[in-house]
Amino acid sequence: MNILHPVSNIMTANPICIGANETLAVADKLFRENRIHHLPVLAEGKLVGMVSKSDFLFFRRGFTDTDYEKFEEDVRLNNYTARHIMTSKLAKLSPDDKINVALEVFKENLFHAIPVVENDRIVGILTTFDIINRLALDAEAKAVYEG
Amino acid sequence: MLDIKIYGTSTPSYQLAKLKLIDALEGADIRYHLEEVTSVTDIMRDQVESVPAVRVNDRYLFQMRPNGHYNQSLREAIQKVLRLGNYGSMSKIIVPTDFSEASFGAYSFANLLAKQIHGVLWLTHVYHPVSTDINQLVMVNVEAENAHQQRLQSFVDSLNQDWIGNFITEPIVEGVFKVGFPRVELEEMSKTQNTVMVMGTTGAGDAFKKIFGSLSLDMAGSVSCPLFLIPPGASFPSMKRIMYLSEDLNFDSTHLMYVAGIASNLGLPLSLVHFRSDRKDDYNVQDSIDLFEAFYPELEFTIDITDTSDLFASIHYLVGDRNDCLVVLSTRHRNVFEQIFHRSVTDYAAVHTHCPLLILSDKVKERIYSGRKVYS
Repeated sequence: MNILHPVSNIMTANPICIGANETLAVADKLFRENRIHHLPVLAEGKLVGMVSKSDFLFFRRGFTDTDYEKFEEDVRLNNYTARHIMTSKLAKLSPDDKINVALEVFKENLFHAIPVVENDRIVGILTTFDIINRLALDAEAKAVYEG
Repeated sequence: MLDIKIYGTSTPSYQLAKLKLIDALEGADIRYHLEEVTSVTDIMRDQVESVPAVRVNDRYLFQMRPNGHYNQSLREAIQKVLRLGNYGSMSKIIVPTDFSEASFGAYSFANLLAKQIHGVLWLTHVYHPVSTDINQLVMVNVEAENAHQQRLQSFVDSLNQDWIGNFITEPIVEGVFKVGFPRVELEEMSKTQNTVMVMGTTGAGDAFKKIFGSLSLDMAGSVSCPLFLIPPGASFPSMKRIMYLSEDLNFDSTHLMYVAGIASNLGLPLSLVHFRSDRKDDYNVQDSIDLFEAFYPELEFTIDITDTSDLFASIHYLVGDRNDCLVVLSTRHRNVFEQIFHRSVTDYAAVHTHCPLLILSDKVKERIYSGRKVYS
């Protein structure tokens, strides 16, 4: 992997997104059915935030055993929207930014996904998994035994 | 007895509202009769526009709002129902505020106390009217009074909220606005059944000269309910034990039971320190042990007897550098001479400790003796 290549080479294009006013029951469905960990949040087609699976699981408060907890969970998922729990101040990349810029951003921060935007419209998402995945496929990466 | 109708179809939001309502009413020991109205025809007949909704005594209607407002509207509805039941047996925690740092510290303490003892917070601001002498007429500044009232209300509104996705986990806060002399108004409020008061102090140094500090110390001897004084830096989570300092534990046995009740309720060990300044002191340790074993067999406690001729020095030695205990003092007076002395001991402790203080006056004891429930 050449870290001077643009992020558009390794990003996931056209990611699955959620509307800002969609309930968290919809977010739950998207996370479960697509096995993803980040949902960019859109309002009128523009990127306004991101919901990570850890944000979502924190909001859900863990397991539900009793009827009481199940009612609470149901009300929670159906009365709150993506807008309520999304992170709105995001680091963003443009498709032409180089991969090393993304590496620096990941190194300095605790998050694992950066939306890639062009004119406020989301065109892709770059996650730490994308980078690991690319490194694993890299023909140049070799195991060198020493000693 | 509250006659309550709850409207709604059997959706989770209806079920949750019903469970939360029943929990709140039973937690406050309020007698009620609950009727569930689940038929759409009946709901329309009673002119209920949105469900879930609660009607009390066929008069007051509280409707819950969907889409992110459910939580807040449920909280408001339950608060109004509890208010109609005068909060039943819930402890009323009076928190006087002048919007200073000291009163914010007291509020934080009171908030956690309310969670532990299932109390409702009465955030109280006493406005002392400012009059202006114009052309020999005394004019009361109504605008200033309104501004203070609005400030209190917006403060209460900001506190009456839950963390997103939580349902009434934060204590309920009532705003109480009074006009008059703070000491007089607070003394009067402290006579209300089942109350405790939590006040901030401005701490060491020239605290006596500062209005709020001196008010809190004045209150120590005059309130009719248990009084918590919270110095700067003292916090609820840092309390690891309760330390009851007394000069006369025989006399303070009623207070002792009260403090043991608090220790038991908060799950904290209790240290009794008996200051023996009188050679004729006839305090019997076994009496206290018997008392605890009879009423609070689970309570972890220690009893120390300290011979002293200087209460200031002894108190300072025990709690001067600590911030991990709740110090309990009573305003017990043996005679006129000691009345003066004792008052200064309480004041000294209030100003020179980093620990929260619980002051139990003789008036509190009278109320306990008279069979009124002060703390639960």
